[in-house]
Amino acid sequence: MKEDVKITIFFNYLEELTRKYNEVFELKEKLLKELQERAMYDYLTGLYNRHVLIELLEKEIERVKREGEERVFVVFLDLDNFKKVNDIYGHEKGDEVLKEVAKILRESFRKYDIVSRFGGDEFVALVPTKEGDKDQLLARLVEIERRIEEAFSDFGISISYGIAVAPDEGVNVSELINLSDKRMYMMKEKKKKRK
Amino acid sequence: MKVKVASSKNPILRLALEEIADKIGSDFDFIILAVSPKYPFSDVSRVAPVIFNVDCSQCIAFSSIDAFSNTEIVSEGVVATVFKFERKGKIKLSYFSELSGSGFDRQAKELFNKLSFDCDCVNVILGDYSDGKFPFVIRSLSTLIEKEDVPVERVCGGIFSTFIEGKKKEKGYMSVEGRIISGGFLALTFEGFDSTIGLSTGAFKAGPVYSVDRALGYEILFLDGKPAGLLPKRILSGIGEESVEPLWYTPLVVLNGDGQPVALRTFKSFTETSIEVWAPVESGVKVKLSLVVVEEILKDTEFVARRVKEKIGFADVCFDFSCAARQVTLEDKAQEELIIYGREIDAPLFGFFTHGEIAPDLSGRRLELHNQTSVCLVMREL
Repeated sequence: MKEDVKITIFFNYLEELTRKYNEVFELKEKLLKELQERAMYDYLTGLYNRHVLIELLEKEIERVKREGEERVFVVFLDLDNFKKVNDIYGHEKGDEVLKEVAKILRESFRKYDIVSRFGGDEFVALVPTKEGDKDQLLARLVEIERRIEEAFSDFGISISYGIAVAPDEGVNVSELINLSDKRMYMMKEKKKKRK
Repeated sequence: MKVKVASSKNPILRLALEEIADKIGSDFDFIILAVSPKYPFSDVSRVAPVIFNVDCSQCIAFSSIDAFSNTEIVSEGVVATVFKFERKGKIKLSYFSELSGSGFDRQAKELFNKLSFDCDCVNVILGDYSDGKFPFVIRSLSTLIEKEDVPVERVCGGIFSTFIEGKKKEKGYMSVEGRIISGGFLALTFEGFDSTIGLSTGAFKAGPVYSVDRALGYEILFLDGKPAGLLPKRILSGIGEESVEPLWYTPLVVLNGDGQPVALRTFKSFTETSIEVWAPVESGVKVKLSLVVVEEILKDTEFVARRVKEKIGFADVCFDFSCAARQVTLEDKAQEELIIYGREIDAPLFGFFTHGEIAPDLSGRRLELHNQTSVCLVMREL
């Protein structure tokens, strides 16, 4: 075999080795990204999952404690009458409802607000804000309620919510979540009584 | 056992055999002849027993372009080895005259039944490529050996080498019990011997690994989900001619489920979409593109030769079945390999450049048909 042919083969082999290495490296990066995303997001709705929400809330609490002037609203949202959809129309329909609700929430909150699916038909949003912004948040929640009721009028679905404020009402994650959950439940009860 | 190896390159078959007869005498029990396909093979079975003064049952011959006479490569000549048993040794010959297009399992079963797997036996299988049929018999035999749980280290051998015109490989011949057989195979079972088999590859341990997504027999269709033909194209890029020989420097190493190398495959041909190799490949396996370097091959051969010698202690004879593609990649160092075997094993050496080597795989678990390796069998009469 001619020497120049052997040298070309050797260099082509090295090139193939590098090409293959890059291919494997890119694939590894892609898989890692997918894995990270799977670990961060709720598979059904694409919203942040519960674990990420808790982690982000911890960081937000630290931030507002340090900066002093800012606040974080912890908004606990829960669908009303959702169980009926699953029971009557099945889980597939239930999943569709959850996806649509997630879409409404994503569109209604600001880009820098953090919206998560907390579990089942429960959602938690973190809304960083300055003092006096609570009215804007309430107006947004009323709009969310209206859109959900309109979208699922056939199923009688609505949404109840409760708000807790950090650091004023607590600097502990579970404390704030529990408080907002409790207030959401009070709203739900009020609605029932109105009926 | 007394063993002698002798050769001749006399262009007249009768004269070549007579020259060998003068060198080896007549005091032996069995003779094996590696005969170049340039000779009229039909004369071998008629002439050889007369010249060597033996019964037809004591003489076999087969086609081989280049054969080994101790440390010498004899191109286009005749090489003979003779055995004279002194203690428990004896030889049993089985042969199969025809390979049908199907029924490889049946033929492998018949072959399996003829072999002996006792601890004092070793089987040497020699056969013709038979348009790609023989490797499937070896594959079926391998499955049987595994199923029956008999020692795989009792089997080795090689495929006859014949001229290749274009893509067509000429048929190889063998002469057995006075018959000339084209496209068959034979098994020599040595009984009353201690033996050990070594396998030298010399292939690079590192290299890019691909999944064989689809393979049919000798053809690899998809590697990593892409047409397999793209790989040789990339390796040959910038060379101009699309000859397959340069690819013999980059054989494929078949890996087992644990990622360990088990066998080598040499490129036979390729198209835009597929690769053809010299021995079957199965879908689902992984292959590593290796690189062969002369120094690495020789280093591996030296290691293997030392290991087999250590195992056997003293050897009466050494057989070497070495791939013809290996001969190409070793270039002017091809003889070095024989010199290493001669120096390390210190026994008469007989063998030939094959078109496929039969031996246990690199993990020692399964019988494999290899490409681009050197299989070394050393034996000592008990």
